[in-house]
Amino acid sequence: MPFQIVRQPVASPLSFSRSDDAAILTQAAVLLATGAQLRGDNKRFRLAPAGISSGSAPLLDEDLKLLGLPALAESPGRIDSAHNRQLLFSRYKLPIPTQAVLTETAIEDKNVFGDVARIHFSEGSSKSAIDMMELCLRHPNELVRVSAAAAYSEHSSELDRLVRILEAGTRSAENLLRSISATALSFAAPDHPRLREMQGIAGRPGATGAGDTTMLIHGTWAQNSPWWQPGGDFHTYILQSVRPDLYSKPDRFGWSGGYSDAARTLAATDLVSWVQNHNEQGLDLITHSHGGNVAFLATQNGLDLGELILLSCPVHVPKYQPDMAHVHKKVVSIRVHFDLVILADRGGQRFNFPGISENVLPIWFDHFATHNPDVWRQQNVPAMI
Amino acid sequence: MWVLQAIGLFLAAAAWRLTGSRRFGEVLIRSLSTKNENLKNIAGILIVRAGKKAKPLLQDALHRRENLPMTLWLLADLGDRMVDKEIQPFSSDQDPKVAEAARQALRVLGSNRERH
Repeated sequence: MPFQIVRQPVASPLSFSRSDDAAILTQAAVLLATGAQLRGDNKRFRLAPAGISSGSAPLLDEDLKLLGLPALAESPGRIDSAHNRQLLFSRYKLPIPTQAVLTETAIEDKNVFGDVARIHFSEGSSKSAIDMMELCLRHPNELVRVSAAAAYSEHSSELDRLVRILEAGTRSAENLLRSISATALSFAAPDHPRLREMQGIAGRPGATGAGDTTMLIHGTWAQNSPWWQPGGDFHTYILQSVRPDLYSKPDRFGWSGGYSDAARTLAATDLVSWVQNHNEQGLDLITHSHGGNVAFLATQNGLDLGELILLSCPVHVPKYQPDMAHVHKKVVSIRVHFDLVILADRGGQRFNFPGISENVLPIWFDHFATHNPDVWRQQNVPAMI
Repeated sequence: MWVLQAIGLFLAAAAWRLTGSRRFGEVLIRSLSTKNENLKNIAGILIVRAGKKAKPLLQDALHRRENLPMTLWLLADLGDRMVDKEIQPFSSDQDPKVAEAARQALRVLGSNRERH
């Protein structure tokens, strides 16, 4: 399940005593920001010659203030993690592990995390920061563990152990967690085979969008609807009049059509596998409704697409948004005015997202008009894509 | 005019939420059998959004084999792990569409569990 959107971080260090989404995300942010402080990321940014960086500093002062993070001096070099762990575990009367392995037991007592965070927020030393990272490597939540490993990777003498945590994180079903893990792994162990394995998805021939196949992806509860299947009215129209390269074999991609984040996430994973198994990297997709959001998630999983055509796609940015680095042609959205199904779904009715062009047909309310062949003919939809 | 019926569904969902009265939920459940895809989807979304209180209505519909396979999907979409055992027997249903929907529903429920 993707994490809930956080409108306001939880006041730190209280977040470390809680386990709801907002608190977990705040803990992850605190750890990652603390790692950046110790690395001196902001200092490096400020020292960069003019013109080299056009972005903002990695850690905005206002964000640090909102998180309540203490100022921290840069702390280069690695500490003796095993020794430090021994002292730390003695302090909290925790069983000292004989070997620092990934399977080591998680610390279930939230008070331990709350206490080590409270000390860091009041002391604000590199030692208190390291202690917080060390303990959070045994946090019950994987996002916190991965964030601790990412933050700690330039300061710990046990890099292998952190790499194992990050490598495990790259296999998570949760996009945010996977992204943080992969990014941190690319810094900590740039030659790690898991990174090559992940890049393999995008590195196949045809990944540049040179594919010559189009495929239809249905939306919610439409698994058994005929319109998108070979022989169905929309499939037949697209095949005969718009895209002669439309995939028409019986083993076409389909998904459960479930109305849940879990169903869509599973569908995105299945879509990536389907494309790999069929060697169809770079294919064009015509999606209806939440089928578009499945395609978005698939691009976040590294799927390379050519063109992406979204029919009546409910807007749920940032939960569902395309990774435009993996869309090699264009993203076109086609919809009607005041779509009532999208209203029930509580989705947005228009994309305001860079790279997605919107086309609103002079039709009202009907969510399914966008896959009606007559509408395509009358409104000249092929000219829009 | 289906748009008026759609507005009726939104009103029924609001009344269900406010009063908790089962008969408003039954209006939505009955709409699952409509041939109008818009009405069917709106009803389905409003049922899932109603959450736990939709479960007994969907269970009743499942026992009566009403609106299969949609009822199976909706039960799975509620994300309640307790419905596994009620969906399970349908995975070997004689109707291949129902059997496939049940298998998909169980898979989604399983994936949902792994993520929590």
